[in-house]
Amino acid sequence: MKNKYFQWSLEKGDLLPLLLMTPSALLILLVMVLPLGYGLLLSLFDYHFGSFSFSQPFIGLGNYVGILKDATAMRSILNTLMFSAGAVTLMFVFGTLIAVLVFRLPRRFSRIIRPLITMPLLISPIVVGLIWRYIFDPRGILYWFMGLFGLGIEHFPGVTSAGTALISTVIAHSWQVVPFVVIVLTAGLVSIPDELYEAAYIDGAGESAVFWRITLPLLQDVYMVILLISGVDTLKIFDIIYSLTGGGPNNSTQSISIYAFNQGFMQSNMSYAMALSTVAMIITFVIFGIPFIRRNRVRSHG
Amino acid sequence: MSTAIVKQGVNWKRTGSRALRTVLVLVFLLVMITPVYIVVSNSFRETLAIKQMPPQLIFKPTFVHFQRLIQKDNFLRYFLNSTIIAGSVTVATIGLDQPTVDFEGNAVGLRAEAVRIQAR
Repeated sequence: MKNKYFQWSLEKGDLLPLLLMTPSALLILLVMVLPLGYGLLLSLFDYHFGSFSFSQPFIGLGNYVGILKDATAMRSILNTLMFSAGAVTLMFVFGTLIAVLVFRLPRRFSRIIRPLITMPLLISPIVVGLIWRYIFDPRGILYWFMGLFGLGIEHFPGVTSAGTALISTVIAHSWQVVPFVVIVLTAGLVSIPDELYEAAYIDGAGESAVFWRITLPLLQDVYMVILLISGVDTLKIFDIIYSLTGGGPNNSTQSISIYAFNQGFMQSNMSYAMALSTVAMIITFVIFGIPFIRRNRVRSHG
Repeated sequence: MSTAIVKQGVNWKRTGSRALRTVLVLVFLLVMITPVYIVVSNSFRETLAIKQMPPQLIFKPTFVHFQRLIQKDNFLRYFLNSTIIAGSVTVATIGLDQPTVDFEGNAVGLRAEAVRIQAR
């Protein structure tokens, strides 16, 4: 006789599937949920490096209130958002341009050019920061090159001025990430059937019409993937800014991660750093998480 | 029928757009590889020579920096560390990620199996 509520077989409503999922669920719990929960919990204490975690005074949301009152923290949040918007825009515009242009080249050229363009992706972000520090050096190669056109440091002060430092880091970051966009978009372009293009050209569509009406709409899913992966990366930005400007001048390139790092490891305000990281996580989730969950839900129902 | 195809001789509009595209590709190529070239070539220059503007395109390469990297600094140790991290991360990621589709595109693995059973 079958037990209605509990049996080890593969029927609907059985417990075996749950059992099979237990190892991965445990693993996720152990390496993802627990550390995250520990960090969240610590952000509610007045915890400093070197002291025992829970013997510290519990201050509730005090760290979060502190963030709201801390002008540098607010500045770093604003900087991170602006960095993200700028980097994603640059990445998408230039990534699309390069991907489409190189894709239309004869195969014998694109075979050589695409790997060359992909090279920045192989460099570690810290080194990319150093490279651009060398380029943006007031006596460096960029200002020598601008000098050829009669432009000087006063036209584009780069990392030396609070007004242009952030855009300089955006340029450095985009320089590294554009190849990634190119690779993924190229994969997307390959998957668009040639018939669509042929049909469009026979109907007399111009190049720009084909691009806006066929290429872009069909790449929509690819764009969403790129947006998720590299967009989240821009909100977590640390290494390039750290080695390029270190957060200066005058906090103008301070990102949330860098400020949290400074607070946590330089000033040993560990719980404040965790509160900052939690805020960063919430921002990331609101900007990138919610739209994706929504989209997936619409997808699986439609 | 589009006139562009019937018309004889040089189609200036098409040639122009092709030239523009070629120029753009070359500009992007230059932007992407110049910094890489700068770094690689600077590693073969004397320390003071990298401050020199305009940069010398032809110079006598020096291997002092690489010598120092391997002999004085612990480069091989650092490299080994990176290799160990890269290797174990790769093994862990591939090992712990359960396969989700087989070669024919059917969902496989424990999770897919569970979903299939639940849906039955």
